[in-house]
Amino acid sequence: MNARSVLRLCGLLCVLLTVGGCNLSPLEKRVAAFSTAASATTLKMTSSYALVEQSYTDAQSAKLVNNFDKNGFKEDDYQPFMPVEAMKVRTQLLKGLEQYATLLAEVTGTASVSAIDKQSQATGKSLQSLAKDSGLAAMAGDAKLDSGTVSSAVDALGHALAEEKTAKELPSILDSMKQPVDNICQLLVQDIGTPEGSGLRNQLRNDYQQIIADQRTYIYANEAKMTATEKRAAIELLPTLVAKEKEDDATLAATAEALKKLATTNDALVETKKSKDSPAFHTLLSSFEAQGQQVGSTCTAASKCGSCSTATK
Amino acid sequence: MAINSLPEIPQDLPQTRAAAQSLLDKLSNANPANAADSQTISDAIDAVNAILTQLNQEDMLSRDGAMQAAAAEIKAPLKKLTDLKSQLADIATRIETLGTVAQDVDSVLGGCKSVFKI
Repeated sequence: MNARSVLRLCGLLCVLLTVGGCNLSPLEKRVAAFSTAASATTLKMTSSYALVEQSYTDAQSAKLVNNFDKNGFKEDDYQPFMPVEAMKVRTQLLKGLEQYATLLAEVTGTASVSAIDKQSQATGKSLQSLAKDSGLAAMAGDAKLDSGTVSSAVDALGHALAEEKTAKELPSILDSMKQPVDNICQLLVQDIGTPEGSGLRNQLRNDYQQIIADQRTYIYANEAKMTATEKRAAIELLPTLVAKEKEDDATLAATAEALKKLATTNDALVETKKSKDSPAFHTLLSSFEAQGQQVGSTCTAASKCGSCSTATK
Repeated sequence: MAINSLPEIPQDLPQTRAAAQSLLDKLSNANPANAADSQTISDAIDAVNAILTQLNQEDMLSRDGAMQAAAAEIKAPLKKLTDLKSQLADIATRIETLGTVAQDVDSVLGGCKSVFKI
């Protein structure tokens, strides 16, 4: 074989290797699609919590203004919808789910590895600490779930993220993360709860009922001193608060629904890991992607409603 | 019959929580027409909200075996609701939807006393 033939053969081998690297297996393609959808949706979920908190803060300012003449102002009167530590627990859990999706992309070779490894390890370690945190146990208690089960799930996800992974380990990663991802999603879903029952949606509803009642009381108590324009603005705030409550509730409801779909789509990914075709997975993935859009749209609608804070001022 | 008009006193935490949530919803749906009634209803909503918070706290703590851990914090909102009961009963004569509000208040108070052993 002359030098020219050797060069030609090397060139062919390079082309084959390049094409082979881009040619993902059916499972890897499904994993990559799930990873993209899950990363985007978990980011939106984190924003949705922040948005509800901001909206609630605006509404609570109205309450403090209304009660000032009667109660004055004490620092303790100003309570966030979710205390900072409680928000941190939820943000860490969502970050863990997001990083899990990124880890899947990494091992299928669809994402750049080095930067992700550092991020994955950092998130993994923070989840391992969170597993022992009293804030997580409190959240599990509020959600009426066993704190030991929740702690184990968070710890398992933390371990998976903190360790280096290779493409060969993809099936075992999927198997070992099925239950932890299910448990973490269930925790977040039950934590969000329902307006009539329990959880954040119930707290939101009860808190808004208080804010709306206080606004009505303020109008009655001060209407004699108000100009027609001031009275009009104060009355207009009532339906604005009702609308704000509905938007915030819709944001939380959409987030809970997306978490349920994330868990079922991840389950389907695990169950079809040996299948070439999996139409059921693709149906679930489409539904999950659509719900992810829904989380985004409720966030956008809520953030566009600036009338609350304007009216409050 | 007289026995039917007696309020049903919840015997456990879930029943008491349901009674408090129902009372809160009833108060929130009332539509008072003057400042005094509106103030009373706002104050009652505030008290019931605080009671619900303590019931939720107790529910969470009881899972770790710490029953009545929240007993101290519930006394103030219970007293506030007790003090408002007669005013709420008076408002109920003008606002039909408040109907049996006094019995509903008794139900929540009785349930809390049973749950928190106070």
